Amino acid sequence: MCSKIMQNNARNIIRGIIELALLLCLAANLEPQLFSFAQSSTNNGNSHNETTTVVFDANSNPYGFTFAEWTAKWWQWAYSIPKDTNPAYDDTGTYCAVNQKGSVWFFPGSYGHDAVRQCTVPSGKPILFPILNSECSFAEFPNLKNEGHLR
Amino acid sequence: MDIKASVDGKNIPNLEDYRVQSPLFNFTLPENNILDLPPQTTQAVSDGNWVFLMPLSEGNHTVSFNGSLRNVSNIETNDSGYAFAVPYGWDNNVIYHLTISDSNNGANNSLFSFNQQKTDAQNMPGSKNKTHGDGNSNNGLYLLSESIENRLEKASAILELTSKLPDMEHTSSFSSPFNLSINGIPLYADMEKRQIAKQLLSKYSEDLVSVLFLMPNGTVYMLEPFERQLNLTTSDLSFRDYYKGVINTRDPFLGNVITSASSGLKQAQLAVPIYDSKDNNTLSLKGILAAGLNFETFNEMLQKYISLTNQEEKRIVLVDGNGVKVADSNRGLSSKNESFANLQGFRNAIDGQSGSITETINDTKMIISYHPINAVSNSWTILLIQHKGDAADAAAAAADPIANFSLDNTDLPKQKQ
Repeated sequence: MCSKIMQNNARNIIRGIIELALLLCLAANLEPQLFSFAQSSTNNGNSHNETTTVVFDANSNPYGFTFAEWTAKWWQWAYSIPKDTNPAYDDTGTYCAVNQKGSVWFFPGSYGHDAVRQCTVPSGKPILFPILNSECSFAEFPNLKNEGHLR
Repeated sequence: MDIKASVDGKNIPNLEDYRVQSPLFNFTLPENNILDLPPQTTQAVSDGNWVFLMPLSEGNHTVSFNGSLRNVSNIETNDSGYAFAVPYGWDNNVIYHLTISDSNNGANNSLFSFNQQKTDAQNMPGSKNKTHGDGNSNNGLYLLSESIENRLEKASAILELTSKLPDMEHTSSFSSPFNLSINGIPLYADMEKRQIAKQLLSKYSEDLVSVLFLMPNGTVYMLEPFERQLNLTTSDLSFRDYYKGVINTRDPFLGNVITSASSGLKQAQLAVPIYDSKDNNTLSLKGILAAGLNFETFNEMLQKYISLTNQEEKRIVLVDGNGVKVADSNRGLSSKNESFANLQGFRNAIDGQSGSITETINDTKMIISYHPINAVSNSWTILLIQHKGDAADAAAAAADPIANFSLDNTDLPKQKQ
């Protein structure tokens, strides 16, 4: 099963670190629905071309789905695209708009090397991207028989 | 583990808080897929740290991110020789130089692909795919969606034009007497703005039911009608989605449905930024102008659609980005709080698709025809609901006309204004 392999051991270590971090956050009573940062322009109306960027909280339900459901949609999108036009294998951004057909835009990371991409996104579109992520599927591990094995 | 992400050079803090495990999901691998596996549909679960950005403002931005594990050299493969999963961003820097452009181009693409459904629409950016069902029904929905989009665009244009009036952006206007006990300025202070608000409500009563001025920090400056201002339980509306949307995008933003705790009425706010006209280069924000939309107009549009298309046995609803009902062709149910978030048809529409699907609701098979609506910055949906026309459902249809079909009450946010 997936959990027997080395990477998942690393994943469990990460989980421990993150759970500790979450506990610290809970202790500090931090539970914003939306987390905003870089609020340089909200208090006195003096903006200097700086944006106030807001990210959706992990427990939120953006655009009718849970955050977790959107991550599943991201994988569905990423795996639906053949390798020759897949934005994850694209070092310039040529294919960044491929299959971007919903209310949320998806950005992939890259495989094995750095990438600098140019991309035009329609205004009004939220953007979901992974920093570190992994998945475990029956296709890759046919010996796994149920969801518990995958997790 | 080291994870970083930034927008325009500013780091997004506390990325550990955005660790998310997915539910079990299906996915389909095409020919020549990135896993180098045979084409198939299978299932997976995922785990990772993510960033979900709200829409960025128009113009140029840089998004960068990096995720690394220091023992990256220890990666092993399983018995079949496949390295576990796909650790995107595995010690790699990814930089996106973005141009956020006017969404009109996207809308045109959507229209084009909608009318070109015989082409490979599923692979076209901005396409609206058709699941199945009768084309006539969805062509009708398409026309209705255009009417609703136009109505919303009109309201947005009214507010944008108003926001550019000299009396709106005048800095000293925001220094008028401010009184916390009445949640803003008194009735007879800054009469120029109050008068503008009254004129808006008088001239565009079909579109707008309230006009709100917020200061740049989200504090209420003025609300018209004044009675509504007095009824507010808080003058700090910086938590609202429309406030955050305007602050973030610097563009018009349509919030989702909320319920006023004072009136019990549903409402959605459309908000636009107010800039200092003398300072075009830096777009100094002087405030936010927002208006409560008149849901009755949308109720009437839906009723008229049902009537004109001779589909009285059906019901059509307009729902917001969360699946919460905005308007209803059934006048008796129009004020009832309902959520359609669990319908697959709604979810398909949020994904940008248009089509029909059979779903079982309250033990009855129903056909849900759905169509997305570009609701200013938001994504709303129209859903046409009808009994499935087979013999087994005929009796149910006769006993329980779909026009009276109703979902459970939802718990909308009970918040003022």
